[in-house]
Order: sequence, then C-alpha cells, then structure tokens
Amino acid sequence: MSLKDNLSVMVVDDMSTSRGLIIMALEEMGIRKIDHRADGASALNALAANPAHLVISDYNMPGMDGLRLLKALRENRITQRIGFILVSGRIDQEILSTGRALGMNNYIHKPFSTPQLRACLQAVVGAL
Amino acid sequence: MSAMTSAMPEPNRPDISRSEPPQSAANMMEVVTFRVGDQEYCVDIMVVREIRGWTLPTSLPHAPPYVLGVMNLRGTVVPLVDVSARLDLGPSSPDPRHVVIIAMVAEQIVGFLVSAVSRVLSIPRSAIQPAPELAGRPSGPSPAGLIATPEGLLRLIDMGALLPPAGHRISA
Amino acid sequence: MASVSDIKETFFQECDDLLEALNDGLIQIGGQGSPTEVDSETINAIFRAVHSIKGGAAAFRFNALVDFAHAYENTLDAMRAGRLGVTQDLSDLLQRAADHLADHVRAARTGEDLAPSSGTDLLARLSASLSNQGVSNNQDEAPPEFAPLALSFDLGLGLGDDTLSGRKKWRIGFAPAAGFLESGNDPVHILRELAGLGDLDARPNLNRLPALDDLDPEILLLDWQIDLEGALCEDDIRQAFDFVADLCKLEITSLQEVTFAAPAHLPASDAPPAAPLPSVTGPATAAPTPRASLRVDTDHVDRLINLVGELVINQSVLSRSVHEAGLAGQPTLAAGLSDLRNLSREIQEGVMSIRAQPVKPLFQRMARIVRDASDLAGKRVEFLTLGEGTDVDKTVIEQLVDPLTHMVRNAIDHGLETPEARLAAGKPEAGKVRLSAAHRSGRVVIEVSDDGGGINRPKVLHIAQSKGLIAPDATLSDADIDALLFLPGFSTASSVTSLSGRGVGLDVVKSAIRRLGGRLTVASTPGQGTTMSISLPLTLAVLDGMVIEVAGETMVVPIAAIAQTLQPAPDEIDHLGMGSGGMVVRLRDRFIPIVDLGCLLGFRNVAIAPDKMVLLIVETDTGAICALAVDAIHDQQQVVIKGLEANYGRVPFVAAATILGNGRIALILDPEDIIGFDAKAQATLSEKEDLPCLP
Repeated sequence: MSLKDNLSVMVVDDMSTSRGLIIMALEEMGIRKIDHRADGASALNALAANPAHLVISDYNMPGMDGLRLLKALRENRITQRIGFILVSGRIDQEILSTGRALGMNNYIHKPFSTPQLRACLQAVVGAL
Repeated sequence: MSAMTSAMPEPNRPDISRSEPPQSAANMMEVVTFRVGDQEYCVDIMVVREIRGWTLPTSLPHAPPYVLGVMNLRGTVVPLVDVSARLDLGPSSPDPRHVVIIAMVAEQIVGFLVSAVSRVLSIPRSAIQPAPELAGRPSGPSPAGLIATPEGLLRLIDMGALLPPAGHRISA
Repeated sequence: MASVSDIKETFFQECDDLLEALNDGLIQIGGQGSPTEVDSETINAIFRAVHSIKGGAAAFRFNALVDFAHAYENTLDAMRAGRLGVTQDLSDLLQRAADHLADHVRAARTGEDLAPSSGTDLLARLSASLSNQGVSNNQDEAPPEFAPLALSFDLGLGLGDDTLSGRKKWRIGFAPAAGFLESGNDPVHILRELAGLGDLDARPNLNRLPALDDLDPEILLLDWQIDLEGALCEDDIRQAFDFVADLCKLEITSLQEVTFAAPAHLPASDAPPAAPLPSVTGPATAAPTPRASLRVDTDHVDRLINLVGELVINQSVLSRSVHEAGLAGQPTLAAGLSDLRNLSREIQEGVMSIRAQPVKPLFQRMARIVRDASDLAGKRVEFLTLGEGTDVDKTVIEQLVDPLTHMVRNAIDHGLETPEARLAAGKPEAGKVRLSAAHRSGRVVIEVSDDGGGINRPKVLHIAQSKGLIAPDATLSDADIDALLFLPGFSTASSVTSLSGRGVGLDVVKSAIRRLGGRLTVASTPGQGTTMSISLPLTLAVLDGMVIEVAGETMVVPIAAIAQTLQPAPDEIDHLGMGSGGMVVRLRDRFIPIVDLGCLLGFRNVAIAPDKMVLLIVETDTGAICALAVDAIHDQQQVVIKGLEANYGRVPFVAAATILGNGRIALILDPEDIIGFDAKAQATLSEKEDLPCLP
C-alpha cells in the first residue's frame, strides 16, 4: 500500500466552496481517505475519536480559527502528532511565527493550484 | 411503455416486411396502428407513451368540439382529443371500450381517443407514400402519408397536426 | 466527485449567505446612527464575509471581484486592527462597498462585465480611508519565510499503537479447541463481551460443519473471523479471552497499517507550548452554531409536493370508497382513516414548508433599493424592516422582487415629501420607510409604509378625470380614489422622475401580485403617510376553494374571491330584459349583475331558472363585483393546484385545475377573468341602454 492510499486527511474550512476545492485537489492527487468539517470544534471532536494523519485547515473561521484549532490539537494526547497545514488568503509573519511555535507543519496561500498543494503536502509527508 | 406492451396484442409482422428485401433498422419505422370508426391509421411509435382505457373527461369551456376535455393521468392534467371528430369523421360516442393513446407531442402530453389499438408494425420508410390532394375530402388534417398493406390502406398520422391550432380559443 | 462547476455553484450560493451576513453586520454598525463602540466580533464577521468571498472568487479567477474585495478587505482589516475608527462616513462607505461587492458577485455569476468605471470612486474612497488614517494598504508583500516541518511516517505494522488511543480496527481469528464447550465456556459470551468494546463484525466459518445427521451438538466445530473497531488496544481484546486462552487459537492483528512515530520537535504533551501565542488572544468564544441546512434541487421538492398532493387525493378517494362500501361505521377503519388523513395533511404541510424561506434576503435587497432611490431623489430615508424571519414560499419570494422594488421606489419618490416640505410640516427631515412581513390568518402580509404626505386625492382625481379614466362628474369615496392608482394608464405624470418605476405603473405591480394569488391594497392618511399591503397565500401549490356544480360539471372557485353566497328570493332578482345577461340581484341597495356560469363557460345555452340558482358574490381587488349563478354549492376544501398550460394552454375563465377526491379533474375558475369579461359586456350594454354602470 502506498502512502497515497493510506494517508488520511481532515479538511477544515467554514466555506464549503473552499472545502470542495481542497478535497477536489486532494482527490486529483489520488488521496482517498478524506474527511471534512466546517468548524474547528467539530473537527477536533472527530479527530479525537478517529485521528487522521494530516489536517488541512483554513485560518479565518468563526469561533475557533485555524491557529486555535492547531493549539487544541497539540494539547490533546490523541491528536498532538497530527500534521497540520494552514490555508489562508492573508498570511503574515505574525500568523507564521505563532504557527511555528505551535508546531504547524506547513502553510499554503489561497488561491492555490493542485501542484502547489501537492508540493506543500509533500514537504510534510514525503513523496506521494 | 410497459402499459402499452401489455395492452397490445403480440406484434404481428405484416406481409409487407416479408415481401421487401431485408431492411436496416434506420430504414424501418415502427408504428402503432389503430382504428377510428372503420378506418385504419397508424402513428410513429416514438411519440406513444402508453395506451389507456377511456374515462369520462372534465369539459373545458370554449374548447373546440374535438377537445373532449381533460383527464387525470396519475396526477397530470392531460387534454383528450377525439380523433374521429378531429378528422371530420363525426364525433365519437365514447364508452369504456374506447381506447386513449397517450402521446408526447411538441413537449405536451396529450390523450387521443380512438376506437381500438390494433398492433405494432415495422414498415420500411420507402413504403410510405405522400397523401394525394383530394377534392371533396373531409376538412380535417390530412394524413402525413399512406401505406399500402395487404390488409388495406394504412394512414400515417402526425399527432401534432391533431392538436388544436394555437389561438383557437376565444379571448375573454 | 464534485466537479468544478458544482463547486462554483456552491460558491455563488455561499456568496448569497455571506452577503447576507455582511449586510447584517453593517446594519449593526451603521443602523444606530452614531456608530461609536462597535463590537469586535461584528467587525470580524464582516471581515470574514468579504475575505471568504475573495478567497472563493480567487480560486475561480473572478479577478474584478477579487480586486474589489481585496480593497474592501484592507479597509476592514484596518478597522479590525483598531487602526480605523468607525464614523458615519465610513459606515456609509462600507455599505456602498457591500452593494458594489454584490454587483460584482452577480456579474461573476452571470458572466457579464461591470462597467469599467463603476466602483472607481468607491475604490478611491476605500483607499483614501486608509491613507487618511496613515494606514498602509500595502498587504502584498513577498510571502513570509517558513520552513516546512516534515512528519515522519512509519509505514510498517503495529509500531506505537498505544500512542494513538483513538479508534482502531482489529481483526481477530478465534478458533475454539475441542474441549471448549466441555469446560463450561460459551463462545457467545465472548462475542458479547467483544461487542461491548466496539463495533463488532463476527463471521463464523461453517466449513467444518458435518451434515445434520452426523452433527454432535457437544462438539464445537465453528471458528470465527472477527473485525472489531473501537478505541481499544490489543490487551483489551486479549482480556476478553482471558479464561479460554489455552482452549482456543487466537490471532489478533491491527488493520491500521500507517502509524505515527512521534516527531522529535513536538513539545511533550503535558507541557504547554513554550512560545507565547500573541495572536491567539481572548476567550475562544463558541461560534454561534448555524442551523444545519441542506441545499436541495427545487425540482426534487416540487416532485415531492406533487406526490404528496397525490397522497392527499388518494387518501380522500380511499375514504370515499370506504364510505360508499358502507364500512364507515367500523370503528377501527374509521379511526385508521382519520389517522391517515391527519398524517397526509401533516406531511403535506411539512413538505410545503421545505419551500418556505425567510424574506430576509428580499428585504436586504430592498435596503439597497432604498439607498439608491433616496440618493437619486435627494431625500434622506430611514429604512426599517420588521418580520425578516417570516417564511414565504421560495417562488413567491423570487417573484416579489420586482413588485416590491417598485413599491419601495414609489414610497420614496411619491410617498415621502421633499426635505423642505417635511421640515415645514414639522416632521423630521429624514423620512421613514418601513417594510414588514407577517403571517396573518393563513396568509402572508407584506407591507410597505411611509410617513409621507399621504395620497394627494384631489390630484389623483384630477389626473384620472383628465385622462378620461373616470367620468368628469363622478363622485368617488376615498378608497375609490386610492384604487385609481392601480388603474392601467394612470401615472402621476407631473411627478415622474427618473425613479418612478421605469415607466411602469402600479397596475403592473397589482397584476404581478395577482398572478401570485395575492391582493394589493392601499391605505393612506393625509399628512401621515401611505401603507401598501400585499396579502399572499402561504404557498402557490394549494388553494382554499369552494366546490360548486355548474351544468353537471364540478368546479372550484377560490374562497379568497368570494364575498358572500346566497340563495336569492324571487323579489331580490330583477330582469332588465336582456336575456341571460340582463339579470341583477339587489344586495344592500346595490344592483349586482348576475352571470350564469354555465352560459358563460359554454356548457349550456339557457340560464338556470332564478328559483334554482345559487349565487356566489365575487369581488376583485379593484372592487368590481358580480354574482355567479351556479347550480349548487358543495363544500369548502383545500385543493392542490395543477397547471393546465403545460399540456394544453390557457383556458378562458379558468385559472388552473385540481384533482378531486373521486380522482376526477375539476377546473379552478378565475373570478378576475370572469368579472373583467363581464365588465366589458356591461360597458357595452350601458352604452347602448344607458344602464347604470358598475364600478
């Protein structure tokens, strides 16, 4: 079994348009185990019950934003090792340094192409 | 279509197809033949949706005499055309032995009242002859074509021509 | 797999929601008049809405939309960061930018281009809002540096199982040995215990079973392959087999093939991250959970509505058959039928409500109309909305856009006085326009009211006279005069401005409302204002009807149009010597023309005898009235409306059809059409015979 077949990814974005676009790109890459949630809290619950290998999360979400989700993931023994990629249309140094401190694995700037997302993912999980 | 096949007798291959050389499917046309009074007609099977028994329709105000009204086809309101009256063969006096051909014509679902549905025939398109202009012919729509069969003359009808012309209704 | 075009459609649907959220937020900021302390969550929500629209738009390369959203977002970002204070001016700018953003979304959706110059002044104002405050709007710096952090995976088996206490899948091979049953054990107990640990799927292997004749019930010849999924480790499973460990063969394998090896850099789980978290501040407020919703193709809903209509009809056919079979007296049957009827009704109402949507987006569109119209008219307008949560059939909402737009424009253009006139009348300079929606006795009532000068009745009367719409010497009540506004051809020409409905009169509004099965009425008090009310059925799919009989045909008349039913006494009917068209009935000193429905519809040639007729007094919105002579009145019932036009065409005097309890079709009459026709006939009559003409 290849990494592509096994890698499980949780996509978190409050906009279903963005979720759809990320999932479509992941499917194009051949990733099959994709789950998704529209907000940080339910993603957290889902991941605590059934951890994924990687979370791809939007930054700007109501309630729990992407970095708060990352922080909460890292504070839970079950989810702390999950890889985390932040997606945002506005990324500044402040967000990145906070992300770095929390153990963010990578980030990607919106909008992105499938090859860009692939590169971003491969930097975290290795060749797909 | 299932209602149709169950309502109709086993397709009876006519002599005509045997007397002709073998035809490719594209050159053949399947028709449903039916009787109006004592005349035999047929219609392209592609427009026929189903065959039903006659039920009393609801009259429509100021409709042409050959529009008997509307009937309930599983929740859809379907107009019912008396083919005999439409072809100027005199109005039918429908009873439950009469049959209604439900057809899809110009995106409308319409019922056509006929005396009986006979069979499904496969005829070569080349056997369809244009209907001659006849003086003194009844004033209804003329057949789209004529087909000579050993049983007699078969008139091919374009169901669309049987619909009431647009703007036939009185303006209120 | 979703296609790009599916996602694009989702994007536009989401844009509608986001624009609604944006407008909600802006109302909170600007609605109060003096925007001082604005709640940061509101600004965040506004920012997020614009940001999300931009993000989605960028993915589909709607560049014009992205560019504008970006400029808008920069201003909002400065507000969010507290670098820009909220002023009346800024609040106005944000509102107009939101309107323009909506234009961009619409343009992207329809594929057309906005005029190149449109929005340039807004862009300039947005950019100025930043430079005035000394805020840099240059957010487009080079992407910041970030070194990706690789995860290390172990693609082997079973490593570090215990580090993941989440759910796992296990496969267990369980083969009891020969002495299993003898020792007093039962495999069922073990399977039950496993089932208590997680999701169990146990498949027995029957291969070793002999023929029934050779079967020895004391010997267990079964073995199992068990899949178990749950938050458990191998030891949990082994515990279940503790007592039979030496009486069976046990194989436990994990089905989870990829497991994590802990990345070296992560802080220990029980120690908080060392670095400070500057941007994660404040309590993580629980997001207000939006109601879960489903987007469904309206075709599906319509098909369901149709089917439920059939169900209701079927139920009444059944109930009639039971009655006719003389079985209605059977208590269980009667109770069952009554349950079925109630259930069908409930399902019908439930399905109808799927189509219902709150009028809020419609009202928000009107807010935009108010802004544009007040600018053009040079009037300050305070716009209030009430009952935004009122649910109305989706189709109705869509078809209300144009009539309401016209009514709102009309209120601003004609209803409200000029600022000078208002001040002179001792009113506040800003006029009030109120839009409200409410459910009232089974109908939806939508009102547009203003606090302007009221209808100028002498002027209306004068215009109607000069246009020959009424006789020069006609004396009309206030209500009659107000009703003149809705007459075709009436247009208050002396006050036509660029706004006044684009050359469309209120008569068009009225007929649009009528097509929806609604009524439009007006009430006005001089000096205090005007209210126009739309009253609509809750849904377009059903109608309250009176079932009647005419010349052997069963028909339905909409209850809404019936003012009264009566069986006239002979002395209440007068013959004017004009055959079937020449009868009138006297009702409270008013002569109402009698129309024999059977003759009108062409079902008979001779009118029904006066002593046999039942009269339905029907009235139109404009107050025109007539008495329909019918053979009998049966009962009132709710009927499902079925179109005639798809398969046939328009039928004179008929609005639609329905299917009755006996499965037959009944036509639903159109009283407006009948009265309109009769009025024409009467007019011809009155010219010839000089008979009193009815309004």
